Amino acid sequence: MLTRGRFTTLLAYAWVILILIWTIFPLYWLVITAFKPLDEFMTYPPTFWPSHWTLDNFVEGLVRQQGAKAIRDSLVIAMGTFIVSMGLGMPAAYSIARYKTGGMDLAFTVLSIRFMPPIVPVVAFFLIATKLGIFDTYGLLILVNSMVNIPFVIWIMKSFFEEIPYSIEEAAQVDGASWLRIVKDHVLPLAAPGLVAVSLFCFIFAWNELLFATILTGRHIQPFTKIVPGINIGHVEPHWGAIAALGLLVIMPIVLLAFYMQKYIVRGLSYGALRE
Amino acid sequence: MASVTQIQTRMQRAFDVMACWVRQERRFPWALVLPACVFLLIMAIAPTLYVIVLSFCNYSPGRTLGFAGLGNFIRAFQDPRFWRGLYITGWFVFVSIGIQLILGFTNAMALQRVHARFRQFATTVMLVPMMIAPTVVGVLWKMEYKARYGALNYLLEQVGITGPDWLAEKTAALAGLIIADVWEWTPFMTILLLAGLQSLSQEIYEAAYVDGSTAWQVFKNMTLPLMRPFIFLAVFLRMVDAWKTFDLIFGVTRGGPGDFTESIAWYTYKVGFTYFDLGYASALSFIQLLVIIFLGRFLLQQLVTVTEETRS
Repeated sequence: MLTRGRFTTLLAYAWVILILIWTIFPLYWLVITAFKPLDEFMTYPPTFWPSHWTLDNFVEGLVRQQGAKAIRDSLVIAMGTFIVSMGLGMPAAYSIARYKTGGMDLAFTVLSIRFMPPIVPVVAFFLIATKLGIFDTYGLLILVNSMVNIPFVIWIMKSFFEEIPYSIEEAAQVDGASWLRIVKDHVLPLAAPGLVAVSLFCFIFAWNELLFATILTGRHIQPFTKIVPGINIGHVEPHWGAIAALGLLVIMPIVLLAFYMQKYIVRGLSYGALRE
Repeated sequence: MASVTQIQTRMQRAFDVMACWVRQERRFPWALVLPACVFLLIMAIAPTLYVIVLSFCNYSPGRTLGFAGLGNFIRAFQDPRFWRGLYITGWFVFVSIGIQLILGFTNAMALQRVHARFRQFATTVMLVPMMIAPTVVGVLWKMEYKARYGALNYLLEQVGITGPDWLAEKTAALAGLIIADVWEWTPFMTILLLAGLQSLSQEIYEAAYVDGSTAWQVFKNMTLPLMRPFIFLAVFLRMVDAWKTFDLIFGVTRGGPGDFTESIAWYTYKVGFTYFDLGYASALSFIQLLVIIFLGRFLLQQLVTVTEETRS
């Protein structure tokens, strides 16, 4: 017999499955488009399984459409951003968490920078960068992306540092350990999981960034976010196969990371306000 | 000219002074935040001030800089494309987030009822749309929207609906953007609200059911009020983010057809970097900054009030 509790559970399963199909379908379409011969993409009705699998689209995207160069550019920018934001953000986060430096005023001023639309400072970036001759360089992109990511690092790392009991550090202090030693031996090991998660977030944010990547680059640097939507056959018709192939390549690492980061995602998304 | 050794001694001395300054107990915490603060001052505060100054000027590259007073702002208020930009952004900030909230809450309630293993699998899959690059989300949906060979219209045809030419018709293009936005960001709501639901204590629920309350009563009188802080937090974070909407438009419609689906960020980008009217673009940026400051302040206040009310 179907009791009411059972019925709602069944309904819940049905709903979740429906949502999963809705979530997965466009991704599935991306995957099969990447492996379909181009002329098969243009047929109607569309085929839901490639008639034969091909790697042509990957060759077209990576080699002829400069996709490999674009991925390298994005990688350099994302790595640089991760290094700069962690390097500057971590000590600040530790200080704010442990010593309440600057109080809530400093913490919230930093956070408000994160909420500023990136379109606001971009005109200034463009003019200053052109004047200094650093327009269209990796350095510029790394600096502007770090500007957006440092507030994030500070807030999330603050929440991780706050969880480490101060008594551990005090005990080490009594033993006469130097500050550097205490941080290295007692703080960092405890903060390590958070550290890895925040680093990955930083990397992903810079990897996915578009606005700065379109406006502050010219001919030399072409991050994938800028070029992927514009891959054409001739002049107008998009080369969907190559777009899908490149799209698939650039989201694959992120999808894999998502599995690893599952545990920290709630905290990351809520700037440390919610903890699981 | 100073020799290399002299420079080295000087640098050494400067370093010693710095180290001495840093070592003092009181200053040490400040020394740790200083690099980040200086960086943000140079990279965020200074450019923003520069943009504010520029917004009162007429400026295009290659032309002379002229003072414009409030000219750019008056121009914005008379510019129909500016108002339409706000209108389109409004669709993302209010309509899309409304849909995401309702769907997200339903998802979270459903997920709470399924087996823990399955729940974890489902939430992991849901992470994908919001973690991948928004540009890729854009092309993903653009592919579906292709009138002649897209999958979406084919599937609609199977159930007897003739789909519109998504990217060529005004209303359909806007609907298409909203659908893609909902696909991308509903998981965000789902995951935050699920975290909220799971933090609620199970005991009060059992007590309520023992009292003989119906499921609807429990939902209305207990779940919803207790969930208010989480709902406000999720909506706050999404709204601040939706105000910046740019990436999706870059991927799907590029503001078209015509200039019907331009968000305010996209219009500012066009003014600044297609027409190179940098003074006007700065004014538009400044207006967006003011709006987000007031909106952010207001929402944050609501969030704090609601959180405190629920706690007490």
